[in-house]
Formats: sequence, C-alpha cells, structure tokens
Amino acid sequence: MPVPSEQIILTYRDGTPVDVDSLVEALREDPKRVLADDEVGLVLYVGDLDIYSLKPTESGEFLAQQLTQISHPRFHTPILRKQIGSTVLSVTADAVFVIREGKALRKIRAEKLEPGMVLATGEKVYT
Amino acid sequence: MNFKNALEERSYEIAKRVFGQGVEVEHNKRLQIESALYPEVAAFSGPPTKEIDVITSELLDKPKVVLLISCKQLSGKADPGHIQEWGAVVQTMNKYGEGTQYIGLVLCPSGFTIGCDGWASSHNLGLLPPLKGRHLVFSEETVLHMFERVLRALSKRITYPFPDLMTPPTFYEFVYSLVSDYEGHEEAAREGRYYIAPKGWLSSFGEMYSSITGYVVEDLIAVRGATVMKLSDGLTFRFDGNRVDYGQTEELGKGDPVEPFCRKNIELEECTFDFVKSIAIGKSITSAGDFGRYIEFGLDQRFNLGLHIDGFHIFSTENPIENHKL
Repeated sequence: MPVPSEQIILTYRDGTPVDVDSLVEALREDPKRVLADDEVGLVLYVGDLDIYSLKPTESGEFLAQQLTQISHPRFHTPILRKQIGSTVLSVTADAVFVIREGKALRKIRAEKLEPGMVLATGEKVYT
Repeated sequence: MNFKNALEERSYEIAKRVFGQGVEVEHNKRLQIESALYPEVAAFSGPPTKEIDVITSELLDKPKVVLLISCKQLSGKADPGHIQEWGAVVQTMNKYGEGTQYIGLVLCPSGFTIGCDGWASSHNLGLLPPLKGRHLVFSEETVLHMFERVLRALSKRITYPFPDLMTPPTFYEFVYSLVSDYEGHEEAAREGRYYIAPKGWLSSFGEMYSSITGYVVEDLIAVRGATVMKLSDGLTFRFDGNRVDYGQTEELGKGDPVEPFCRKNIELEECTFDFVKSIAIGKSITSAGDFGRYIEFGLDQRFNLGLHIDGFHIFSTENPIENHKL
C-alpha cells in the first residue's frame, strides 16, 4: 500500500520508528527508487525496505501494513479532523474510506463521511 | 504510422519517449490468446479473438510483461461497459498468456462515470484520470501529464519484484496513488500565483515561505514592473503584482533597473531606497504575508519589509510603535 496522506506512524520490522524526513532525503538520492519527482510531488518506492505503517485499533493495539511507496504531494487538499472508532485522525479531504452500506461496501471521500457511518473494518464514524 | 486521433498520437509519443522500443499502436488488431489448447476456449469460430485499438508497451523481456493501453477519445465519459471490455481483454490475455503477463490501462480524458472504479479495481486496470468521488474535470494536457508520470513510475517499479502488481487491485491502486494528488495541484493551478524557479513549477504560499524562511536578505532590486529580493545561498524572490517567483537562479533578478517608490513606518512616509536597504540587508526572513497588492516579510521579528510592484515599504514592529519609528 502507498502511505496514506493521513498516516504518520511508520516503523521498521523490529518496531524502530522511521524518521520519515531523513529517510526521504536519503532515498531520493537513488534515482531508481524515485518513481516521480515533479511539480505534483515526490513518490518513492520502499517496498523492499520492510517499512510498516501503524494504525491504532479500538483495542488500543496497532495494525501494521507494509508500505510500498511514500508519497509527498506538494499540494494538499484541505485537512479534516475525524473521530473514527477510538481514534481521532487528521485526514485530507480526498482520503478514501470504505464504508458498509447494507450488504455492500462503498468507497467514500473523507469530506463525505458522516457520523453513524460504519467502516468496512467495523469502526464507527463519530465526527 | 497512422493514428485514429490526436489523443492516440500523443499517447503513443509519450509511451515511446518513456519505453523506447517495444511500443506499438495497432488498429482493429485481432488480439488472440497465446495458447488455445484448452477445451473451454474451443469455439465454432476458432480461438477467442477480439478486434481492438491498442497501444502495447513491452515493459520487460524476461519475464515478458506487456502493458495494454486503451485510448478513448469520447464526447462523454467512459462507462463501466468500456472498463468491462478492457478488463475482459486483459484477463483473457493473462489466462492464456503462456508466461507473458499483461496489465491494462484505460486513458479517457473526458473521464469516467461513477461506478467505473469498481470494475477497474476488480479487473486491476489503471484509470486515467482517476475517479475521486467528486466531480473533477482535468484538461487533456493534464491527463497526458498523468499518463507520462504513470509510465515513468511503472518503468522503475517493474524493476523491483512485482507479483503484487498483478493481483487486483494493486495496479489500479498504484496508478491511483500516482495521480490522485493532481486534485490539489489543479486547485493551486487555478490560483496560479506562486512559481518555483528555474523549473517554473507551480508552487504555493506555504511552500514559498518554507523555502525562504531563515534566509538572509542580501540585496533589494527594483526593475520595471517588479521588485526583487536577493537572499543568501543564491536564492532570489521576485514579485510583479500578479505573480511570485522564487528559486536559485539569477534570471529572476533581471530587468530594466528603475528607481522604486519607498515608504517607511505605518504612516507610509516617503524615504530613500538606500534607507530601506540599510535596514533590511543582513536580516533574516522570519514571517511572510501575501496581501495581494504586496507581499510582506518579517525580518528578525523586528521589522516588516513590503515588496510592491513598484517599490518597497519598511517599518518597525516593536512596541510601543511611537518609540520605534524609523
């Protein structure tokens, strides 16, 4: 998965936190890893570096997902604050969430999330 | 080479520029599966074939990986039928590909109807422009820029292990991740005020400020139609009223020198250019504000320096104001 714009907790496999800024500066020197570096932003391939993004869950534990890319867009869409489950997140308005709707799943932009909606993961949207 | 339309020609040129050899455009190509020795593909008309217009790009030789690009120049948006069709082509080619792996991309500058993304992600097809759950219109120029960005990224990504890319919806998401940020870029482009030199890339107030904060003012220049601030480490800032340019290039300081109008204090009393320079030069940028008609910078948290289209102003920000008049 590419790093979502709202995700800020990154670790290596052994749990050591990743200093994203230092990592980005080091990796952008390797042209093979630089998938894009232009007026839209920077995208780096990190799929072979065993880097994980951590997402807090309702139980207080973290769900780790391996990262394939780190993206640094130069232009952000507006930032929203959302409480989903027990977590309060800062997300860009264009971040995509997947919600349950009856027996189906539907994608929705963060700016269209409403209190009471339930994500595919079972977490409820509060604000 | 014949092209059906300008979009196809430009797409082909971009693919050729990125991948070099191995890019072909074919019309009414009879696409046939590589191995037809399976009972389920036996038919009265022979093995399954389909006539398509396609740009093929060979990404890798061993193992052979081929990108199948569908260019759609439509008067309206592409609908799920277009996606299903391309998904079926790519799926069938993969199933009987005899080791050749195919990935698919659909390029349609007029966009896609809502509902296309579900089909695209399940078929693992990239969509250009992206569907973002909001009514967004991208120009054909922007969509082709996206196309080139995706191809260049793919040419590098494919040199790393890529089995995951072949599994839905990873390739769909890979393409989306490379083009979703155009939304913010396009919004900034509508404002079109800040540019970073020497590349002329679009920039923003935030990026401009973070790029020049802490730098020391080394000189002020007035040229016809603009004012210029030279900063340490070769950084230059230029303001011409409608446009702000900054970056490490001497070009921004060029122009016909003129005598600027200079003002001091809150009352904007007349003063000389040398007076403004005597205070500003040697001080660091500590804040910034864009007031439309002028840009104002805080210097050492003690002074504010304003750049206008035809001159400068400067005043002290220390309190009490009456005791710190310049």
